[in-house]
Amino acid sequence: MKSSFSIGLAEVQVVGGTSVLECSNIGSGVAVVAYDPVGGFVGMGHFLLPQSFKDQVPVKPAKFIDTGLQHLIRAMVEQGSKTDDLVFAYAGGAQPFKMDAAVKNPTDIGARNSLAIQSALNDFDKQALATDVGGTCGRSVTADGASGLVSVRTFLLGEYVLIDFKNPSAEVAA
Amino acid sequence: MSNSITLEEIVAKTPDLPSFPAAAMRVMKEADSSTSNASSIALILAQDQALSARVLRLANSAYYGLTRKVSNLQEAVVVLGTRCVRNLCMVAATYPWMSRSLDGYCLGPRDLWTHSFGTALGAQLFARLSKKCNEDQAFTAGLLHDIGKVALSVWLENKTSAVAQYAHLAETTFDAAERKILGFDHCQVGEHLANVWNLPEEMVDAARWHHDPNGLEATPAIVDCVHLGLHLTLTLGLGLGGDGMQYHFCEESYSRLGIDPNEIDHIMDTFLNGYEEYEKLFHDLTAA
Repeated sequence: MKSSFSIGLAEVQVVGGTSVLECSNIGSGVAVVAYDPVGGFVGMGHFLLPQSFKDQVPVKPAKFIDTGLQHLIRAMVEQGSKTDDLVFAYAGGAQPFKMDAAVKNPTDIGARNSLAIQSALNDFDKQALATDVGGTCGRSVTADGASGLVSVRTFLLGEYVLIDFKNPSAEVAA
Repeated sequence: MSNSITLEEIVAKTPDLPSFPAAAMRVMKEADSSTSNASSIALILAQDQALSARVLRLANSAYYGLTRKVSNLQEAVVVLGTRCVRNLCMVAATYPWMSRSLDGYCLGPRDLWTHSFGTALGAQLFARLSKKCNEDQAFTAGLLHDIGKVALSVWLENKTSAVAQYAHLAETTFDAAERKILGFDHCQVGEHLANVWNLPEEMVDAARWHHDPNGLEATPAIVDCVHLGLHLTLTLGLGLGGDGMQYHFCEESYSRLGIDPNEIDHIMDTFLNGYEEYEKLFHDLTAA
């Protein structure tokens, strides 16, 4: 039987083998999934703000995208993964209506988070294999360590596969 | 396209519509008056045994970390303070019915509660930062801002998807889609219910205008505080339902309150720290 683990606000978890990770109620934050196709580990973090504050060491590094991604990668490496092997996908970054998609405004946290995670992955010479960001709908993200499937569920679209990490070049149903 | 049922009929005909405990209302008014004291508040609270029991249980929760058990209401007011007991009373009065599922909004058990409590804490934080309205009144206004959903939910069942799809396709807000399809929105129903409950005027305004603070000619600061508290809550995804984040955000609320929107990340961080602390209280509420 598969074990299922829920990711809360500003949390990171890494599991192996047959476990499933799920993050519900993602608003403007982003759920980032890291997958190690060699070791079979899968990790997920729910990050809420673009960047940690320069003058503070964050008590909860997963609150921020820059420190959260470092934390997620470190947790994967502690399980035995190699950074080079890791592949990523993410979803989230929604925000209330009628705000510009471009980052013009500090209160556009969803748009700022979407850009921040791209930038943070670039810092590790990584790019996401699949993303689903923006809009005004809350999301839930599920990552299945056994199948390598990452699914997104929204109220308007229902559930769909964001990526199959074991076969990332395959087209997935939207 | 709208139904012929009126807003008054919605409130009159909704089954299991909660009532706001009279004792909680009187505690709120007494605590906000300049003449209140521990015994006057305890005396009012004592008239509602169920409410008193929940307030005492919360006062003894791990969240407050008291070294000895508080065994009576007057002692609770003395130890925790009038303001704290006032807000505990609001929490104890609303939790039983706010923690139910609302199928019409696709909200599971405790989702509306999580959303409302988050908005209450956010509104309180903006009141504290702006110093433009009473923090405790902002807390209560945030807690009660979505009472219209409680009444409207049953009438929205089987229509939620249509409302959300309409809003999505027409690129409009969920409350605008409610008005188009039902003839009114949860804010208008909330205003009516708040008047039926005889809530103070600022709470009626917050229930009516929390998604559209610019709709008022002269927006009271408490409405801006609730709007911005709600924005923090939606941004964090606390208790998101079928309506998701399909609402307007009004940045003018920041300028009216004299708060720099560039501070939003720090404000969000402060909010999160407070919210996480309160999870201890949530735990005790579940048991209460």
